[in-house]
Amino acid sequence: MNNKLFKPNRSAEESLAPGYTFSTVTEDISRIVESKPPQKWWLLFGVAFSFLLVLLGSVGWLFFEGTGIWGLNNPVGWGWAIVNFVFWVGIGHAGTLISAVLFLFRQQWRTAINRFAEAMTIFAVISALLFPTIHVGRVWLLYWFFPVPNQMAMWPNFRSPLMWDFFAVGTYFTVSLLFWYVGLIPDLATIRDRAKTSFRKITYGILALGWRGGNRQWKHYEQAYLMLAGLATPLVLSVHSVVATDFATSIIPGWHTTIFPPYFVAGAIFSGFGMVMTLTLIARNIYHLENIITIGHLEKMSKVILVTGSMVGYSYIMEFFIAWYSGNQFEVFAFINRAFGPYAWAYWIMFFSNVITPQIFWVKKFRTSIPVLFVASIFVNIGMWFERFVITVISLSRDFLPSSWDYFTPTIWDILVFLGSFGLFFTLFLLFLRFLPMVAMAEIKGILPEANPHHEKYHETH
Amino acid sequence: MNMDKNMSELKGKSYWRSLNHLENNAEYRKFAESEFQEGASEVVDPVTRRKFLSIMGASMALAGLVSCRRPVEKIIPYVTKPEEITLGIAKHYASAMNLGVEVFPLLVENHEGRPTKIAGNKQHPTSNESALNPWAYASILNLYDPDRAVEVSYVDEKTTVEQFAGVWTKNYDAYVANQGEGLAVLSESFASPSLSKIKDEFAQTFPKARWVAYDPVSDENIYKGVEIAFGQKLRPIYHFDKANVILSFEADFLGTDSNMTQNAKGFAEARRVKTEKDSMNRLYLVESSLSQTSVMADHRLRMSSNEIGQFVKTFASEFGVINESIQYDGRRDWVKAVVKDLKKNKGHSLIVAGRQQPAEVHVLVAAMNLVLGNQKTVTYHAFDKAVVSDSDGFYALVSDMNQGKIETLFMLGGNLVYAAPTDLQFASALNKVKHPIYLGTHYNETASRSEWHVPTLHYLEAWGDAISHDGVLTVTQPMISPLFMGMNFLEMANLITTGEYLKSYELVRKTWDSILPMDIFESAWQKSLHNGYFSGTNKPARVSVKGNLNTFAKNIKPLKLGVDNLELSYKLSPQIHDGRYANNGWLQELPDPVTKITWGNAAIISSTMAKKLDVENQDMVKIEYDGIYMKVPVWIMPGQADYTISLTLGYGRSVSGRIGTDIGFNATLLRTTKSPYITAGGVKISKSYGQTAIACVQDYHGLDTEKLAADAIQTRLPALVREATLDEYRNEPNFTRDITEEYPEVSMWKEFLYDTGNQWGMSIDLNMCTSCNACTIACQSENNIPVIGKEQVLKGRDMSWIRIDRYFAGDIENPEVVMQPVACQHCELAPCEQVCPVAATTHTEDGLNTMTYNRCIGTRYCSNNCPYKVRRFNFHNYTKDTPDIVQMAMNPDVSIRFRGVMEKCTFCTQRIAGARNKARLEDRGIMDGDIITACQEACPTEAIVFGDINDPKSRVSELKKQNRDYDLLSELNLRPRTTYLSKLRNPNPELEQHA
Amino acid sequence: MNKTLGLLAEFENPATLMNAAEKFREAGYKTFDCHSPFPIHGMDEAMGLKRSPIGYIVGAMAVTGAALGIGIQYYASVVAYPHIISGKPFFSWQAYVIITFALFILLGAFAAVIGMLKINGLPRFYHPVFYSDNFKKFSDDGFFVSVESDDPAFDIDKTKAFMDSVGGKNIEVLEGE
Repeated sequence: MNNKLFKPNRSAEESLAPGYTFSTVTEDISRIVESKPPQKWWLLFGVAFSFLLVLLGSVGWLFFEGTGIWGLNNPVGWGWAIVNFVFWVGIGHAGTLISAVLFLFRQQWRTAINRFAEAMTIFAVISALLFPTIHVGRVWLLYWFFPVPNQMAMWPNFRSPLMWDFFAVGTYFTVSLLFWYVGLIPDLATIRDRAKTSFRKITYGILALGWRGGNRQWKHYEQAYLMLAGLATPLVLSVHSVVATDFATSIIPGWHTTIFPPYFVAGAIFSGFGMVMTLTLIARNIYHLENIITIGHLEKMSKVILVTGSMVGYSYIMEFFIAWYSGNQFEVFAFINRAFGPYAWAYWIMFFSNVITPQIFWVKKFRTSIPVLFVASIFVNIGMWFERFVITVISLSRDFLPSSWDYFTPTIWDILVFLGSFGLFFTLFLLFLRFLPMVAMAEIKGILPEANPHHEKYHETH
Repeated sequence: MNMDKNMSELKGKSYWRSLNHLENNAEYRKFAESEFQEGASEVVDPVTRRKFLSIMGASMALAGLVSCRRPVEKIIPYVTKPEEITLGIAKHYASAMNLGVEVFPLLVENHEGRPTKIAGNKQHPTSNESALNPWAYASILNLYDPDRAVEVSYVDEKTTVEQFAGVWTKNYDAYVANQGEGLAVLSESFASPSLSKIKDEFAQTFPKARWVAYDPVSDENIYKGVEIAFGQKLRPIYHFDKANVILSFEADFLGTDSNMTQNAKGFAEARRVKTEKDSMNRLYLVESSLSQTSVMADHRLRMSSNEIGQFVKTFASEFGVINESIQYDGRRDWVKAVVKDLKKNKGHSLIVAGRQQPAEVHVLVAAMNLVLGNQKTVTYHAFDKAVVSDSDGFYALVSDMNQGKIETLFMLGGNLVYAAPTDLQFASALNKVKHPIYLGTHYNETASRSEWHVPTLHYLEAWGDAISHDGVLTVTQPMISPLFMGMNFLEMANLITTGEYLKSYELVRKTWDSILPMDIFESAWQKSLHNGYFSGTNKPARVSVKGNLNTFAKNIKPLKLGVDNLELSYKLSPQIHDGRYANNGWLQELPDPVTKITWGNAAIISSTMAKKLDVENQDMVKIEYDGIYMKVPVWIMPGQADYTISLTLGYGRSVSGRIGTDIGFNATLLRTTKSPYITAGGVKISKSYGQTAIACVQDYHGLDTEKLAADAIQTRLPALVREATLDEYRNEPNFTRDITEEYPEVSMWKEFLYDTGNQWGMSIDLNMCTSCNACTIACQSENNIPVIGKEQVLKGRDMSWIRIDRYFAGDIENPEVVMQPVACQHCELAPCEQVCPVAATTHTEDGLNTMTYNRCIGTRYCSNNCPYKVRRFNFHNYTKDTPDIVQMAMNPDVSIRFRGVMEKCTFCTQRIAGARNKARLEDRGIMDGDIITACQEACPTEAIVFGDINDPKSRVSELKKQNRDYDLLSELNLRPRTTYLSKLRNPNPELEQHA
Repeated sequence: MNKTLGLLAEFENPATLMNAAEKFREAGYKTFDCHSPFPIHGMDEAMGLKRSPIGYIVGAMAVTGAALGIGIQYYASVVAYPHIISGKPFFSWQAYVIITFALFILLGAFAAVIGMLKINGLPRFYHPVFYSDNFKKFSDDGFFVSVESDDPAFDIDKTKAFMDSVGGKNIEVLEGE
């Protein structure tokens, strides 16, 4: 079976600029890790890191003073914290999709981007996990989530969607991490073998676990990789479905809808690809990887964005239809209120960014224009954040009894923590670019024409 | 008490700091004490006032440290337990509270000698109910107010009561010699045998001296009217239970008027409906501003206060009370129909008018009641041992003060520098008095301008007595020995009169000596102490109209109001009264029953007026009257007469405690002796710049929001607050359930059947709820609910476990108001439980939705998933800055909640547990009525009933069997344990088309 | 003193490596290995390797995980800590599906990774091939065959000759302690 893996095919050409040899691939990618980072890197890192400090500061104050420093109130018990959580988790999904699903579907073009798509997944999930952690009233008791025997002889309530979340996202993070690391091993070996300083020799040596690239290892390696891909694939669908149940299993109008799981998954992939696009363009620009991450890749991604964006748009419209069709006055109001209530602005920002923006990708000219792609990807990110805001906050602010309706206004601390999470994400991401091979070299080599022992040029020599 | 963040930053923290010092540092203590007077002298400057307060708080806390005390001189730790006290078991003693001539017989709950909660004394023949109004409930907190005055102050030094007494005794003889020339006493109105006895002695000892009673807000006009009509000084007492038809001219008899609880109780009796066969009373209401009473109105007519006089005359002439024929171009049909209805119910009808209406109106009202033969529905009683407010006497006194005729002025209570009508210039008059001596609870506006300030003891710290209108004597027993230095009214009055300082106990005994039968005095006295009262009688007077009413009626002149000739009506604050409770956090945070405003006041105007002025809620306006003006934010209310601006009194206190200072706007600044309640026009209003945030706990009431929401509310309302007219109810008795269609209950699994043992449930009768807020305050007191301050309320984080939802229906000009008390519904299929990840909220087998505070980690998911939004979250550590002394007010049976924890109504689980233990010890089951929840206990109309729904004979089961019973949000199928009885109105068929 | 640990020969491309692999197999070498920067398909057949057992390990562990998941939830909410929650039965299996699934995946993933490392004998920072500096190329663009001295067919001279005969370049003897 494994002789089908990495089989070179047409997509080899379109997933890599022609003229690459094994050693040039090694050279081009390893160089980034071995040479001093360019100016731009330092600039971005400086910005990202200062935002990270902002995060630490505001979270410190949050722990000291309590969730009251946020704009939360009685009807709106969940604010930006949960919005950000769902936002970040969603972003993660593209990484898994690319590395696992496209892998199983033999989409060779993925090899150029899967490594840092996966990295993005991991850092996004880290940023996501930050929020459920800090948003609880008594952070120091968070460990009561863990189903472990304790002196209180107390156990958690497994009926709670939050408990499901805890397991689903936890598993998701662990699996992604393993998947990512396994993929890294051969490339770490490469860096190890090219290392000049003993420090690098040792660190990368340890990380590479003494990889020898023997076929006896490759055999098990590929099998394990395939297994991981197989296990990660259902996660792409399950994790955000579970996140969706946080809302769907409640009784709040605007939350309690069965369309949520698929709708959330589509949205997740949509936002994920938006973010991958953004990051790819940045990395490409910093390190001049135009030959490895080709327009072909970007165009494919924009197609995915177009498809998932349309699915999201469909969900938005379907929600309205179902609300009207249900004949439930609370349900009907919840949606009319979204579009025309006090938060209408948020709703229309969301609608424009998520439904209108991706439609431009019907046109090849836009699919292949870097500036257009970049701007569009930013819009997608904004739009998807607002989608979560619309779902979480607007639904809560006006539920069943009008007497308890209230308007949610964020405080400076809501904003700082949110911006800070970007600091965390980008700091981690830039460090990754600096110290780990951002493109899977072994896989790239595997799809070079020369990688095929039955390649015609070898037979000429016979 | 807990204040908004800034305040605690500002004071609470500094307070703690000083406390730590004080605990272990005698030197600092000396320093603090020396500082005290300095701070006091600079009290006008806010900054130093704060310092002063913080230090004062510190000294307070010092006292607080010497915590629980039994009424004995020495503090004894329970090494050897006093036999009458069992630790952890509360004892209840009878006592009483006076508010003017009103008497609140009390039953006080004591924990280890520390009063923690009060309720009405059910056994008392006058009230015979456990309900009280919010003022009485919250008065327990005044006892533990950290900003109470702690020591006698003479100008700049602090002294003691003894020293003060000494000084007075020196001057005493001189005054006896000159028969009290230049001596005056200014007290509040009272109904106390002992005090009135002393007053009489005072009059004998000092014939030339003067004792004037004055309340900023009183029923004086009513008394005057009755006196003019009947030629006797009498006090009308209404018996709503006997009235089938009631016509009210702006009387807020279910709200801030006197005897609210008794009125409500009686009114409820005549309105309660068990089946469609029962009858209910009918209330016609004419008023300028939506009052609490309007909740119960079957017909409400919007009319500016000044027009009402003319309107009353129309009725008077209809009844032939006056023979003047009135040109009335208003709602003649209304008058005709109401008159017909009243006549039909001769002897079972009642006409009442508000205290703000002039005496002339009350003359006519009294006469009309007589014509209608309403001897049973309103009785008139002589003022036995009661002294009522006398403004003319007060005004005269002030002019004498100005002329320097008053040398020594004793002010027993009150705070007239703040509360006296502005044109009196009371403060400057006071400066002309040589020795102003003030007996008051707080260092306030008056104290700061007095030579002597003697702190008043709280009524639970000293002895006193009271007499109710029907002549029943009531004892005020102390529950705790004075926490701080001070005197009570009796002691002070007696000192003034006799020159000797006797303790209140002796004084009360002395008075009662003369009242109780000689032979069995001791036993009678003991019995009175035990029951809290000694029965006496004050028979209703027989009355007949004296003099020619037409002449008085002539004084009522029609008045044309207009856009630039508005009227201003002053109302007693339903929260902080006339400002006396300004430093009471519970009351400050209590929402106004109708406007739902907390922490302040606003100028109430109609939407039409708002459009004219082009202002919206919270916009500042300038109100001018008589050359004086004030700036105040507006609040638009439906049902407000277009040319009427309503302002609540009591706010804008400049010198009060850390809670009451600078909250709201001082309406007294516009209040004149000429028109203390309603200005006869002459008021101008204009838009000013800026806004002032108003902490309203129920925004979006369908007025201040976009049409979308307003419509949604109107579509939901019929199912939320189910309502019908009596006739509709009779035609279709099951209308309540028919409003929503029944959904088939299909379940994916076998649900838990709550079918064994006790199953707790509650029934709330919306037809009874007058939204008096008593339940909310009682709950706060019982369950240690924190006060969070204006800033937090503005953020929408109010903590009340039982709130009263207020909705408007019908047209905005003259809407119908409905009220709905909402606490945790204890759903059998509670949506909050399944979403909690740590199982902090679960169900007990007896059907309680319980909250395990210690287990809660604060995800707030339960609150999100609660369709009733009754869960309350501790966003901050609200109890962190609670001074030790305030902690003494806490109920030891209920735990204090920490930051990050969700809390909510528990059906008073501590009371359930208590009753269960008691039953177990007596080896019996829990019987119906063993458990009375705090809200139920507080409800004057018995709208709230709690009990075992598994016992078919329990009261609550009986109520739930009624055909008006329904679940709130029944379509969600949550099986709430709290169910509601739908509201009924009883409109006059002849007026239907107009209603 | 250094002793001979094995032999290493370089081949110039995947094709030659593959054909060498077949030769070695036919020559009866058992533990020889072919090192390449990326997995070369068809190499398993060439070397005559059996299918990897990792799939079975993963399957077994995944099922264990699921069992563990449902087990914990049953024990906690029925045996150890039964509570009436929203009137639902103690064993609300519908609600327990997700966590069961999560643990299925989690243990499966761990099995895959740990299983792979265990079978490959990783981490292993010492190995004969690492004595060759030339071997470093394997992770770049080098293709090698290594034969260890413990291979039954190993004979330093014969094997060297054999390597040469199948087109091996830079043949070196791996020596170390």
